[in-house]
Amino acid sequence: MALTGNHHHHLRLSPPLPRTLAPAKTPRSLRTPRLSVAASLAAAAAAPPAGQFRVDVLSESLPFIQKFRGKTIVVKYGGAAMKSEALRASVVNDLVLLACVGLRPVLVHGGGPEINSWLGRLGIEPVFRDGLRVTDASTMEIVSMVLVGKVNKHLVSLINKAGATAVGLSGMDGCLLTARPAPNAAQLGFVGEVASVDSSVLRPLTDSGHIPVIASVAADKDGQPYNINADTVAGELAAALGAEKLILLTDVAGILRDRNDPSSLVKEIDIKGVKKMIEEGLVAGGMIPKVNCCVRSLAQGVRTTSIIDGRVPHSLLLEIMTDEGAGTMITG
Amino acid sequence: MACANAMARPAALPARDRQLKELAFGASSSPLLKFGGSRVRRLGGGKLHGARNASALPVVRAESSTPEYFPDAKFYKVEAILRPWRIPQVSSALLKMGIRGVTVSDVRGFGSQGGSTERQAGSEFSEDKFLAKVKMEIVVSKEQVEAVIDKIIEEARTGEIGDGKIFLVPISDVIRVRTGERGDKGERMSGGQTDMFSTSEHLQVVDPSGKLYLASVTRLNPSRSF
Repeated sequence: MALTGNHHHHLRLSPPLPRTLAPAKTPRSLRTPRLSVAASLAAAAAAPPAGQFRVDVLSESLPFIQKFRGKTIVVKYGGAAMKSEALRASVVNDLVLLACVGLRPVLVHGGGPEINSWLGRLGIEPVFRDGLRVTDASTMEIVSMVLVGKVNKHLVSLINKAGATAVGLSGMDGCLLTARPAPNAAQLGFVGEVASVDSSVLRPLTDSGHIPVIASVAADKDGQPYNINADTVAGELAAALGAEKLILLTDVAGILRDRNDPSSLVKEIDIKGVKKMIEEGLVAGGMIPKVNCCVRSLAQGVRTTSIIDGRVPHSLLLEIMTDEGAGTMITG
Repeated sequence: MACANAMARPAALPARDRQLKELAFGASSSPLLKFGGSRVRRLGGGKLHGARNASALPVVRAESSTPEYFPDAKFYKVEAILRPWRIPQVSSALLKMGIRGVTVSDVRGFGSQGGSTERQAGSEFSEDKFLAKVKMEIVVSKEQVEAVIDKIIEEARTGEIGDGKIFLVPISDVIRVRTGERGDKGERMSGGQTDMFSTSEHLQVVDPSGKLYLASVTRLNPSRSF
């Protein structure tokens, strides 16, 4: 862990802080002369440094906390961050921390690997067309059950365990999301797009300090459930809530100008710039839908959107509480 | 004859042919030329009385490059209907380029989207639903119109359906309520473009009828003296 004068550079915050840190400043107790024995002086020197580091970090995050206090932050959770136990715990801890300091986080999740394993367990063969899964009626049943019943509630209980209170919802609850068939639903089955969002059910929850956890399943006007891409749900929800930030956790470092050069990470870019990058072919295939979702959100008034590296522990805190960030920020 | 490309307002940048003004230096003492229907520009070093001056002052002929609008007027109102959350960005960009008078109002509207829907607050809205927009009205003189339009588009465009529209309306006159000034004086604002971009070169020019004007000149090539 590198201790630099400016704590805004790559600070890794992991819960247990090592106690063997060189002190950045002389602890106050040692500045006043004391008539005590050398041994007790040495003991006094060992304890304050760790505490000093902690309060330094806290006080330097003050401007960020002040800037975002009371603001809504929508986080889309998926990819590697969902699969690894340690990463999952770090995301949950970050959410609880953000809720505690006064931000209003909202978590949106997709299904990822769970759906496949359950389809296997129930003996349903997955059908693929052009590399994309076909969601027929029986698959949709499983998707709905796994996303809303298992993944959602597991996340809710993790957040509860970490000290905050979470409420798990799907698009159906409170008519939060209304779906309509996506343009390619004819080939791919019950894949939906967001037709409308009614965020009034979330208001009392966030006001009372709960963290909503939203599963990206919603019904259309006739009650038929659809599976909607979680990035899309996160983007439209952020627009509906007037969110300050939309954050998409991914398995890559962000948008790289040169695919093979990790140091060519684009830290900040605007809509014009990112559209130019897509035209120039610099944005990889899987990244394009995420970027489009970000642009759609920005066009509807979300202040900033970020695509960050979910494989880095505490990437959420890095993105929100530091100037460096943890990926690419797309602004309006 | 030496030619130099000059632009009277460096901030109105895009390299559009119509906005390039050509200044031709000539030894002939031809009279001042009127252009654009309004202002008269003649550049020379020092005071010029009439045009029969036999001194070695170069005569500069400025070619008109103000855009053609129909109907023609001295002032135009740029009416932009935009997304509400883009307004702060647009107005601070306009302030930076020296546009100081703007009126905004809350309006609702829809446009023809050819069947596609506009998204607002996460929901899709079809053609006949009124959505909240903001109308920005700016009255500027003819030469500033293109720059203002370009700046508004640059700041407000997102590329998604619902970005809005800009209308150009000719204005007969601009009157300041406080002083009663009309016309150019009524339109001119302190701290605006004229003040921002004037340089130390202030020349007195005379039009054929004998009226004296004060012209401000932007020097682009410092080594050249007019």
